[in-house]
This record gives sequence, structure tokens and C-alpha cells, in this order.
Amino acid sequence: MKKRFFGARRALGIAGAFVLAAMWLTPFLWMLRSSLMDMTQIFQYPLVFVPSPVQWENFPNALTSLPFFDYIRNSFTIVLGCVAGILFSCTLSAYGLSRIAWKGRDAVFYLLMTSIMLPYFATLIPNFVIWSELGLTNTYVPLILPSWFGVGTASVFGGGMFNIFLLRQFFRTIPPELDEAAFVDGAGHMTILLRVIVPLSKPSLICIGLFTFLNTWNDLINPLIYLSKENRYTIQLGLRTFIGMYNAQWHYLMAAALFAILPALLVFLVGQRYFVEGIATSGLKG
Amino acid sequence: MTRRILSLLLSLVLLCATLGAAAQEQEPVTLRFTFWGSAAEKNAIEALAASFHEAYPYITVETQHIPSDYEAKMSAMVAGNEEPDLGYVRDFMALEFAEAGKLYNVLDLIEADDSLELEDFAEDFFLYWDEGKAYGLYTAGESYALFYNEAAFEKAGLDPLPTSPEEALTWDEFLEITQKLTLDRNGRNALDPEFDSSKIVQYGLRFDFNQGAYMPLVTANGGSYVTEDGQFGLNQPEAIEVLDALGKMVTDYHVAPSPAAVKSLPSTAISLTTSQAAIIMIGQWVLLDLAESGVPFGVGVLPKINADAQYVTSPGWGTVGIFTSTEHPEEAYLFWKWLCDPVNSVEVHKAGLWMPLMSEWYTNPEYVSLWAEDNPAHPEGYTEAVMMPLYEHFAKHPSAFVRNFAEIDAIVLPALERIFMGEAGAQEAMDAIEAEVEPLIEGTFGN
Amino acid sequence: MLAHSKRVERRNLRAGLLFSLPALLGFLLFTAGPMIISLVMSFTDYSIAKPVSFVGLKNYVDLFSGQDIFFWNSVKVTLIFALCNVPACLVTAFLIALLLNMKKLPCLPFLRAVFYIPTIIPIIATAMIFMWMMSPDFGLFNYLLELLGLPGSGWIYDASSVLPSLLMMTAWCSGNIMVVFLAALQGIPRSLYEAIEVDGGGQIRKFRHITLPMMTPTIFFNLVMFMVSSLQAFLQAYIMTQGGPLNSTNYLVYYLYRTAFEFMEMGKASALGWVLFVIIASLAGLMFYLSKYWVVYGDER
Repeated sequence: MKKRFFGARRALGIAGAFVLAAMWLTPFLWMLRSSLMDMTQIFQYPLVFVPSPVQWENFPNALTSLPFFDYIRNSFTIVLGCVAGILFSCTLSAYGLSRIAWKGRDAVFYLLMTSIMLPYFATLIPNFVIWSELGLTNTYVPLILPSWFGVGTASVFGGGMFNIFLLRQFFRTIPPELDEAAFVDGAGHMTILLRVIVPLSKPSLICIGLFTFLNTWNDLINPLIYLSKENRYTIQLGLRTFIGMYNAQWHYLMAAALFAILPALLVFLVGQRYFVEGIATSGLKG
Repeated sequence: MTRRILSLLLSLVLLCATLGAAAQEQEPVTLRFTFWGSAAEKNAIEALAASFHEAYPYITVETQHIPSDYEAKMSAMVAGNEEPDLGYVRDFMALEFAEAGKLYNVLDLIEADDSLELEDFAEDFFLYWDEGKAYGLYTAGESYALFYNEAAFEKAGLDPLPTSPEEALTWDEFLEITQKLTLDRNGRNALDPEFDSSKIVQYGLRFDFNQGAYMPLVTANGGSYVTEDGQFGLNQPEAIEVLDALGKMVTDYHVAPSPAAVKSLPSTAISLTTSQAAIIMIGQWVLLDLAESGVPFGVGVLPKINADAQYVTSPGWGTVGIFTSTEHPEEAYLFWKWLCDPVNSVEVHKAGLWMPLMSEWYTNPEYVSLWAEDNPAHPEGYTEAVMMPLYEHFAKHPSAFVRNFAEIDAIVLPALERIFMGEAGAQEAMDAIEAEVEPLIEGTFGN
Repeated sequence: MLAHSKRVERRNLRAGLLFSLPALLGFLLFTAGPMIISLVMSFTDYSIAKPVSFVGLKNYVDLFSGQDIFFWNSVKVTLIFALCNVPACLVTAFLIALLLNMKKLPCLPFLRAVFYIPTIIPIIATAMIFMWMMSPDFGLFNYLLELLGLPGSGWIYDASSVLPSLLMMTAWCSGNIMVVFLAALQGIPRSLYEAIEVDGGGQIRKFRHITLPMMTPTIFFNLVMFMVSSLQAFLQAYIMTQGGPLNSTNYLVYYLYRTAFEFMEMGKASALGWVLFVIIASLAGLMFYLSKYWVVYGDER
């Protein structure tokens, strides 16, 4: 009796999961449907659910009106620079903030954590003025260099400090005996970090790498403020430009948006298991 | 003898001139030019930059198209001291830039130029920030008018709209026409007692909810955005009459889409070609899109709010400013001049995007025929309904001369939204913001 | 011995600082430094076009005295949005995480991807899909409502429905929180559940006595992080509603952006930034203070 009840609840749970999933998928399907219609069909009433005829040419039409492939390349340049920078700076800093015992360490860590609470826009204006005084706007330097110092994009999840926090949490779970042994063997901190800590932290490192990739890929604000020349535009800026130019040509907008999603989608599908694993292993606790 | 000496002298002068020109073999100069606009405007500007480069091979114009967030981008560039050499600037921003000494006074530049006279331009098109100081001309001539879908008119059995300002429709006539053109899903029009206003498939009228649509009507009615004695103008009777009438078109008669309904319509031009709106009240730049669609359309003059009203039309709200920070003011001026002279962009004018900035292109029939007649973008009646009113019944938009326009309009726009959403009557909505607007009124520029 | 430990201490201090240097420098150069500059700017009337002069507390006085008519409304809508957004997204994400954590759930990788993918979609694209689906006349949502015989809604285009509409969208994008929850759920040792099973306890008891307490640190973490980011809501207002309708989405950060880049009043914008910082910091502080009453840390066992 009890067993059956249990099974019913389980079935209900599974059904719930799939119903929710269907709801979550709807926007994509709607997007796909709209991207394959022509202008009159898109505004037809009652609504048409399956495009007929399928307007495949929307994609080439939308994608050739702006140099989207150049934008993708620009985005990749910035994203790879940032991922490398974040991995470099956050690994070093998290190590310094967790595996070495020094006076004032925790105070420094909490000080750094306050930056999560700073509204990004408040610092954007001074930062912008400084970068332009240095003559570096319209280059990728203001977009990439901060990540080499542990400062990421505007988003809180997956921003710079979030990564340091995540890594530090994980590094703290590694038994101290491991590096003490290496220490006795005469290894320095750098060797310990590279030989002992990093190999053990692969899931966490991949996880923050992915976070950084996706955040930077989807960043709109920084490129919008710093990049003026069209040949340096990122894919998000290109999409924004496209909206400005083809405002309300919904079939083209949807086609372009689908295209802009693709690279991030691929990266996610390849790396998705590390998201959960990377966070799980660090045991997120305050 | 004297003749020979003269001719010798002359040839010497010529020789020197040639040599001089050769010695002047200019250092290459690159100008940066920023602008907004549709894909068509982008093509037009790029073509102008290319033809300019052919005429002045030593000057290269790097064009930078910024179709969205233009104001933010411009602010950021100016804050970072990296404004372009010249570029489009919104009129209200240009006012502040000019006053801070960031833009050249184009009157000075034109005066120093022997090949150009101030009188060449339509006087109204200069944008001033002070007595004798102009930060530029409009980016192009533009003019507000009515544009309509001919098929929709035929189906409703309506006559074409009048094209002469003298025969402008009264508001009641206008309302009746738009009612006949507003159709629900069952094909009933808005005059039908069984008309279902929640299922409209074709609106009789579409207009924007900003100064572009209401200001020409308000000005024609003797009203203003900010009065001469520094009062808020939009809650005065002349303006209220217009806002009230426009508001009722949306909320009471349902002949025009509400702010919410507008969001699901395509752009104004396209909504006419797909006959989601039978008449659109907008600037004449839509001609380009209308012509490209191939859908037959006509033009008409704006309606009159009452019998005493004048006829007024207004242009757009941008200028081409030359920044004083440029290292190449002469070359920047040359390109500015190139943009201003319709002769360099006849095609763009002919395509319907721009109207000329120079007087002769309105007054000389030969010039008029070059752009405004006998082409798909300029239907019959265009010169009478759209072109001449701009030349004769012209009023600038308030953004071109009201101080703190951006701040004031940030308060006005939500109040207008209340009217068009039926949340408040025109008088109530405007009175409610008067106290908020008053402290921001600091008069007008150049007055 | 003492001298030795002193030396070790000094060496550790040096090494520790050296390793933390990237983050420290980044903090000073790109965060704290600019923040101090912005504090100074907030006491000036710095406006792009005009010369700068100090105006003391004028910017703050203007904001708080109501001289600036947008400010209080902006604070209000920001707080309301954050207070609704946090529970809406946390509950949705927690529910999904619980479902995904079911034993032997079929198609797990597929489902996990479906729920996470909205997060990786550029906000512009997300905004575009939702604007399109919420379109009053040609949108999917109103069409479905009509099929069900229900009246349509103005969605984000109507001041009364814009907040729930935006919450729908943010809940759809709450994949990040969901992943953190899921990771934590998977980290709960099976042995704890087994203990309850031995006692003959059911699912509900398991949830109340094991899952929920074990999850409190994670809930707290998500709560703080998401509160902080909700208070900085910007992109939806910027891309979808432009602060409207009727200023109902004129969030502080969006208002800051407009003040800086549309009205060109950098001084006032900096003051807004600092006000927001103080709001965020005090709310976060409050949460930390309250956390000791409900967050259960495993280490204290």
C-alpha cells in the first residue's frame, strides 16, 4: 500500500519535471518558429504555429546584413583573454587566501568580498574616465585586463569575487597534510599550487572558467561603453545594433538571436557536468 | 603690348597657382564621423563619405554607425574626451555641448567660406544656442504629415486626404475618416455599434507619443512646450485641447493603438504597408520604407485641431555638430559642407529619406524636379502637402531650444503615457506634473 | 624557536600577500579606487559638458529631499522588485533542483540542460523572446489565454502587470541558483537519509529534518548573492521597458545610468551609486545578522 503511494508521488514528480521542462522550452520553440516565418505570417491572426513555407532565407538575410562572424571572432578574443585572466588571478589569490596562514588574511578576504556589494555602475564611470585618459578605449584592454586582477563582469554570479570565493572554499577542503608533505620535500608554494592543488581542483577550475566564459560572452554593458568602432564590436553589441536597425522585423531579430546563442550553447553542452560538480565539490558554505 | 604683358602675368599667376596646389600636396587626414539611423541611412552616409573621398583624396572619413543608445554613447565619448571630429548630435545635447564650447559656430565657418552664403540655406534650419551662434543645421530637412494606405481608403470608399494646408481637415472630419478606417476582426468599422474594440485588425491612425506628433498641432494652436514667460506650456488650454483630442482617439474612439498595443505592431512604416494602420502621422523619412515596399500610398496634410489653428509642421531633432576638439577643423568643415549640399546626395533625397537643407531646392522648380517629383517615394501632392509646408509653415521642436529638455521630457513622457492609457484626462495628467516641471524650466537657449 | 616562528610568520605574510596580489591590486585599482573617485565625484556637479565645482552634499540633499522627483519612486520600485524577485526565483530554483535530484530521474542530462540553458542566453535575446511572447496582440501568451477563455493581459506594457511579467522572466533564468542548490542537494550524505528510513520516516520527514536544515547554508548563500544582484537590476529595464510603464521599472541602477549618460549629470549619478551601495550593504548586513537564527552549519555538530 505504502509502496504504491510512494510510486504515485514519484510518478507525479517525474511528470512535474517534464511539464516544467516543456514550459522552459516554450520560448525557444517560439523563437525558432518566429525565425522561420515571413513578415505577414508572423503578424497573422489566429496565430500560426508551424511556419509554412519555412523561410530558411531569414538566416542568411539576417546574418549577412551585419558582419556577425567578425563579431563572433571579436567576442572569442575577449572571452578567451578573460577566461585565462580569471583562471590565473583567481587561482593565485584563492591559494594565498586559503593555503597560506598569514596575519590579516581573513580580514583581507572579507574586505575583498565587499566588492560584491558595490554597484557595478558606480565604478563604471570613473573606470571609463581612467581608461580613456590612458587612451585605451576602443581596445580590448579595458575589457580583458581587469580579469587578470580578479575583476570580472558586472554580474554577481560568476563575477570575479564569486570565483575567488568558490575556489577558496574548495582549496580549504584539501587536507593540509598534502602540501606539508611537499613542503618537507623542499617544494615552494608555486610548485605546491601547480603540482598538488590545481590537479585536485580541476572541476572547480573548469566551473569558474565556464562561468567566466558565459558571463563575458553575454556581457553587453562593458562593450557598449568601451567599444565604439564597429569592427571591434562583440556579438552582443552586434545584436543590439541589429535591433536598432531592424526594429520590429521580428523574424530577422529571432534568427539573429538564435545565432548569437549558439556558441554559448555549445560550450555549455560540452561542459555542463562540471557546473554541478565544480560547485558541489567546493561545498558552498559561508 | 599691355595685352601681352597681361597675358604673361596671367600665365605666371596660373603657374604659381598650379605650383602652389602641387606644393600643397596635402598630408593625409582622417576624420571620424558618428551617426545614427536605419540601414538605408547607413548606406547613404557611407556613399557620401566615399564620394567625398573621391573629391578630396587626402581626406578619409571613417564613418561609425551607432543605431542604438546614441545619446549614451555620445555622452561616454565626450566624457572620455574622445568625441568624433564631427557627427550627428541630438539637438538638446548639442545645445549643452555648444554652450560649453564643444561645438563650432557654423555661422562663423560659413562666413569665412567664400563659396557658400548663409542665404543658400533655408534660414529656419539653423539651430541656435545664442544670438548669432548656431551649432549646426538639421541633419536633413524632415516634415511631419499624414501618409495613408491607398487600398484601405478605396476599400472604405474614402476620398484621398487633402494635400493643401488651406484645405486641412477639421478634427471632426479627421476623426470620422479614422473611424471608418478602423476595422475589427469581423470587418466592422469603429462607427458600427457592434464594433469590437478589443479585436482591432486595422487602426485608422497611428502616431507616436512624443513631441513629434503633438507639438506641430500644439504650436499650430498657439500653444507651446514652455511658454515665453517661463511657464509649463503643456497644461495650458491650447496644448490641452490637442492632447485631449489625441488621447480620445486612443482611449474613447479606439481608432489609434495605445502605448501597449503599439508594442506589438511593427515599425510605423511597415504597419502602414501591412495595413495594420491606415493613416500614419509621422516625419517624411518614412517615404523611403514606403516606397521600397511597393504598396501604393498617398500623402496628406496634418489635420487642424480647430478652425482658428494655423498650419504648422516640424522637422526631426538632430544636427551635425563639428567638435572644437577636432585636430582638422578645415577638413571637418569640408565634410560638413559636403553633407549639407543636396547636390552630393540627390539619390538619398530622391529615395525619400531626406529633404534638402538649401533654399533653392524648394523654390526653383528645376531643382525640385530633381528630387521631389515623378519618383516612387514622392507621390502626387507631395510638394504641396509635405515640401512647401516645411518651407512655409515651419516650427522647431522644443528639444531644439528648451533648456533642460531631457530632464523635463523625462517627466512629460510618463504623463503622456497616462493620457494615452486612459488613466487620466489630459488636463489632470499635465497639471499633476506642473509642480515637478516648473523648477526645471530655465527658459530657452538663445532667448 | 620564537625567532624561527617569527621568521616563518614573516615569510608566510610575504608569500600570502604575494599570492593574493592580483586580487588585491584588482580591488584597489578597479573597485576601491574608482569607488573613492566616485565618492569625490558625488560631491561635485560634474556634468560632461560643463566645468566642475564642489557642491558639498547638494546631490544627496536633492535626492533625499524629494527635489529629484524620480529618486524615491526609484528606491521603492527597486526594493519591491528585489523583495519579490528573490523569493520567486529561489523557490522556483529550489523546486526544480529538488525534482532534478530525484533518484533515477529519466533523461537527467537533458532536463538539467533545459533548465540551465535560459541562463546562458544573452539577455538581449531573452528580452526579445519575452517581449515578443508578451506582445498584447500577436503574442503567444495572450493567444493561449484567449484559447482558455481568459482575458488577455498587457504584460510588461501595463504598469499593473509589468512586475509579475518580469518575475516570470527572471524565474525562467534562475538556472545559476538552481545549479548551486542541486550541487548542495547532491552533497547531503546518503547516510543521514538512511537513518530516517531506519526509523520508518517518510519523504516529508526527510525533507523537514534533513534536506531543509542541511540546505540552509546554501539557501543563505543564494539569498545574499541573489539579493545583491536583484538590487542591481538593470538590463530588463534598459532593454525591455525603458523604465516604464509609468516609471514602474525605473530601478536605481537604470536611473543611475540615465542620469549619467542621458542627463549627463555624473555627479548626481555617483551619489546614486553610493546610496545604492549603502542600501545593498545594510541589507546584506541585516541578512548576516539574521542568519544566526536560522542557518545551520554542519561544522557545529
